[in-house]
Amino acid sequence: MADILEVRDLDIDYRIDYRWRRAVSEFSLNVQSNQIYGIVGESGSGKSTVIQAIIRYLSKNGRISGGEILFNAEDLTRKSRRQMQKLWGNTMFMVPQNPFSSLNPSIRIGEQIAEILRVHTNLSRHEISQRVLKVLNQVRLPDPEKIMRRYPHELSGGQQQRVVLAMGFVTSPQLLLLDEPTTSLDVTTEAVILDLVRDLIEEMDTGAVYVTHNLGVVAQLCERVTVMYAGEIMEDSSVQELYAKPLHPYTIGLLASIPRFGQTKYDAPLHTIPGRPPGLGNHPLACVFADRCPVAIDICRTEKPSLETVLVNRRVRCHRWQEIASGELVVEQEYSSDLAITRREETENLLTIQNLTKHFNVRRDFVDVVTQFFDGDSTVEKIKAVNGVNLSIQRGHTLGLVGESGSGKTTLARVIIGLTNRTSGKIILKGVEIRDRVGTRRKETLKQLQMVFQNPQDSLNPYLSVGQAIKRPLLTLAGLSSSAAQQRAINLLEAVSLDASYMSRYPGELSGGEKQRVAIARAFASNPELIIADEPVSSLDVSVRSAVLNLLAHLQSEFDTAYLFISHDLADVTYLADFVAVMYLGEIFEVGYAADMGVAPMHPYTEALVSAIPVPDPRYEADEIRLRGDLPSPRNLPTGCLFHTRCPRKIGDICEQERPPWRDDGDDHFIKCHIPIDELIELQTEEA
Amino acid sequence: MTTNTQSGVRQVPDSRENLYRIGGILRRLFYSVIRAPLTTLGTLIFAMFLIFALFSGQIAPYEYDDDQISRRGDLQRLQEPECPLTFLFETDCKNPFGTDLAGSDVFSRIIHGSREVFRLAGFGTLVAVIVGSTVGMLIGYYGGLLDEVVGRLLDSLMSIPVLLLALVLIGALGENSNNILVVLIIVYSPIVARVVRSNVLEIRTHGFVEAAKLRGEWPGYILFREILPSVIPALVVEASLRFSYAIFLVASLGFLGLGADPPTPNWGLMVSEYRDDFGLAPWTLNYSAGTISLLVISVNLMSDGIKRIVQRSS
Repeated sequence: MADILEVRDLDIDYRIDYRWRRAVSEFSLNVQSNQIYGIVGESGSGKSTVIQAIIRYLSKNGRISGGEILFNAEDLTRKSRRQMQKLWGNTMFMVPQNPFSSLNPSIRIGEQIAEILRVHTNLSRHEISQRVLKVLNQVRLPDPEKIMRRYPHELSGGQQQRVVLAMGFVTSPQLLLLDEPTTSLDVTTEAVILDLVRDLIEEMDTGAVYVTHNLGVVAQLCERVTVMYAGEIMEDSSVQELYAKPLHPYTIGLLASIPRFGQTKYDAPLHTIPGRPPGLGNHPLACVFADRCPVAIDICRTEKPSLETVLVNRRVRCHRWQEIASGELVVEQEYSSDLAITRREETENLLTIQNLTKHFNVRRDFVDVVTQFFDGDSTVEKIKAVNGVNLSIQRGHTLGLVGESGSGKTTLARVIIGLTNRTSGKIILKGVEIRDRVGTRRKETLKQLQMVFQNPQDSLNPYLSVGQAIKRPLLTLAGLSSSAAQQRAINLLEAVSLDASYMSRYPGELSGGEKQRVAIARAFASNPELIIADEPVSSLDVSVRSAVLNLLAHLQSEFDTAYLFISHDLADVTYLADFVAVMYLGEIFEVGYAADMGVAPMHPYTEALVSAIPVPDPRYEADEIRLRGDLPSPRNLPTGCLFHTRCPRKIGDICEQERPPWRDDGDDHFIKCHIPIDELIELQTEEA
Repeated sequence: MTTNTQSGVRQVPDSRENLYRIGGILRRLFYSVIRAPLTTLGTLIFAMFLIFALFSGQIAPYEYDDDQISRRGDLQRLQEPECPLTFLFETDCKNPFGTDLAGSDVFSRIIHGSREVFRLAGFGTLVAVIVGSTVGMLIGYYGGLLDEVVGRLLDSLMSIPVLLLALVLIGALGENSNNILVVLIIVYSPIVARVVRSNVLEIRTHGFVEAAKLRGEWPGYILFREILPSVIPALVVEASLRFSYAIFLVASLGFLGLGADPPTPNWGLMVSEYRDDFGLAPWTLNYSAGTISLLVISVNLMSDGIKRIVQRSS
C-alpha cells in the first residue's frame, strides 16, 4: 500500500528567549491510507509540535529546520501558505483538542460546514446542503436538520467534537491529524467518539495520525505507534508488538505506571518513572532519557543512541535494546517502589453525610423577574446538583467517588468542606454535626478537614514560596512556633518526596507534579482526619500520576488519614479506594467495596463506565456498552430513575415512572436499580 | 554556556538560571530595549521630568516670577528661545525657551511647574489607587449586596463626565490646589476600583484562596496577602494610565483658571495666559503646551511597555 504521508528526519525549533531551541529532532513517520498512526508522549514531548509542523501550522516562533514532509509525494515544507490553504480542509484536516475553540461561535453549524465545501468544491447550493446533511448523519448526530441551524454553544462537548469531525470528513480528506481530540471529554463520551473515529476512517479510507498521552486509547484505536520523549522517537512499532514486548525502558515505564482496572493499592504500589523531562534546548548530547532511566549505563550518558531498526518495521533508540529483547535485562521491576500498604481493620465512621442536598437557584435577570411576576409564576428554577446523598467514610479509609462531569461530585465535595452552603441535610464528623459554611466552623473542625484541589496550577499562590505555603497552616491551625513550623514543613516536604531546598522555591519554578506534592503537603500540615481530594491526578502526566497515587496511599497508611477521593477514572478510584460510590446527576447509584466494582452485579451505569475505560492492551476485547446521548440537564431532571434516558438495560415504563429501590447483594454492596440483583448478575455474566 | 568536558555532556543553561545572572539580566534589558525602543524613550523622558520636579530649585536657572527684562538693563525686549534643543549642555544659554511678556524665563517656569504637576497628579493618583484598590478588593471579594450597592454608586459617579464632575466639586469645595487633589481622588478611585474588582473576581476562585479559607484565615489576610500580589500587575498598568489622565486634568483645570492663580507656574494656567500672547511671543505657548504633551506621551509610552511586560509574564 502506498504511503500517503512520509515524514523524513524532521527537525523543528522554537525561538524562546531570543534563541532557537530544538524541540523535535530527526522525526520520521510513514502513514498509509486506512491506517491510524498513534504518537504517544507526555506533555512537552513534542508530539503536538510534530502534527502542527506536518500541517504547516506551527506557531510564529516555530520553524522547520530540516527534513521533509512528503504528502502524496509532494514536499510540504517547500509549499507556500497559499498552496497549503488549498490542502487545508480539503485533503488534510486537523481535529484539535478543544472543539469549542475551533468552531466559530457566531456562525450556525450547517453554515460552518458548508463553507468548507464552498471553498474547495464547485457544488451548487442544494448539493452542498445535501452533503452537509449526509456528513452530519455519518457522524451520528441526532436530528441533523436541527443541528445545522444551531450555534456551537448550544451543543455539548461531545456533539461539538462530532461537528469538527464532520467538518473534517465532508471533503473526504486523505489525511486526518487528531491532536488529543478526546482529552477534554468524559470517558463515556470518549468511548463513543473513538468508535466513531475508527468507523469513519475505515469507511473513508483515510490515513490518520492520532496524538495522545493515553496509552489505553492507542491500544484500542491505532495500528502503529511512535513513542516520543523530549522531541525524539524512542520506539516505533506496530501496536501489537509494542504492548506485547516493549523494547525501550521509557515505553516499559509508561506501560507499567498505568493502574490496571481492578488493581488495588494493597496488591502492589504502582510503578513510577522518577525525575522530570529535560526542558527545551536543554538536551544532552547523549540519550535524552538517561537521567530518568533505571538501567542507564555509562555509554548512555556519553553517547547518543541511534534509532536502530529491529526486525521488520520496528525501530528503537536505546543502547541496551538487545539485552531487553533477549530477556537478559528486565526493566519493569526497576520502576517498582517498595511502599508497603497495610490493610486497615474496619473501624467506626469518621464522617457521615445524611440526606445531603444542594440546589442552586438559576440566576434570573430583571426581564425574567418581571415576566414571571406578570405570569403569576413564583417558582424559582433550580439546578439540582446534589439530591439526597447518604454516605459515610471510615477513619483511615478511602471512599472513592466516580461519575461523569456534571454528576455533582465536585459540588458534593465543596458542600462537605464548607466552600458551598448546603440546601438541606446533615454532615456529622466524629459524632458531632458540623456547621454549614467554612467561615462559621470551629477551628477544631477546620483542622480535621482539608482539601487537595484539582488544578495544581492555581492551588498554590504564585507569589508565596513553597515554605511560606506549607508553614502557614502549621502556624495558624497547628499552632506551632515559627522554628517548629520550619522543621515540620521540611519533614512534610520530605514526606512528599521533595527535599528542603524546595522551601525557598516559588510555584512558577515547579512542575505540575511537584506543585501537587506541595499542595498535598500543605493539606497534611494540620494533621487532618479527612482529606477531600478532588481529581488530584487528572491534570498530571501519566508517569507523574502513578507517583502521586502511590504517595497518597503511602501518606494515608502513615498518618491514618481518611480520603474522599473524587475522580472520573474508575481505574484510579479502584486502585486507591476501599469503598466506592458511583454518582449520576446528583444521586448515588451504587455503593460497595472497591473490589466489587467491575464485577457483576453492577449498576448499568457503572457497567457503562467500566466498559468505557480504554484498556492499554490491544488484545483486550471490551464489552461494548455505550451510553446514548448526553447527560440530561440538572435543571430538568428525568422522572423515575434518573438514568433511564441513557440506560442500556432499561426494562420498561417502570424505569420512567418510579424511583428505583436500593438493592443489597448481601455483602454491603448496594445498587439502586429496578432490576433485581440476580437478574443483573445473569445479564452481566452471560455476555462476558 | 558551560561545558562539562569530563562527561562530554554539553549543557545549555536554561532560562531560569539565566534570569539570576548579571549577564542574563543585562541581556534581557538589552533585548527589551531593542524590542521596545518607544517604551525606553518614554521611560527616559519620564525620568527626566521626575528629576526636574525633585530638583527644580537646583535645575531652574531663575525663579518662576523673576522679571528679567527689568533686571537686565541691556535687554529691553522680549528674549526669543536661544537654544531650545541643547539647553542641558550649554552653560551660557540664558533663556533656552525664551522669556514671556512679564519677563520671566519660560524654561524656569516649566521646571518649577513640573513640581506642581507631580505633587498634584502624582499624589492624587497614588491616593486614588490606594482608595480605589481597597474598595475594589472589598466589593470583589465579598460580592453580593455590597457589590451591587457600592458598584452602582461607582457606576453613577463614573457616568458624569470627568471635567464636569471636577468643576462641580471645585465649585463646592472652593478654589484651592489641595481641593484639586480631592477632585482627582474622587474622580479616579471608582475607575481603579472597577479594574481591581474584576481582577479579584477571577482570583478569588483560585485554589489558593479557597485553601486559605479552609485554614480559617481572616479576610484581611486573604485580601492583602493572598489576593493583592496577583492584582498588582494590573494595578501598576492602571495606575500609570490614571497618572497620565491626571496630568491632563490638572492642566485642564488650570487652563480654566481653577485651582491656581497667577503667577503660580501651573502648566495649564501658563497655557491659558500665553494664549493671549501668541501673536507677540508664540514660543511661550508652544513650549508650555508642548511640555504637557511630552509628559503625557512619555507616561503613555511607559505604561504601554509596562502593560506588555505584565501580560508576557502572566
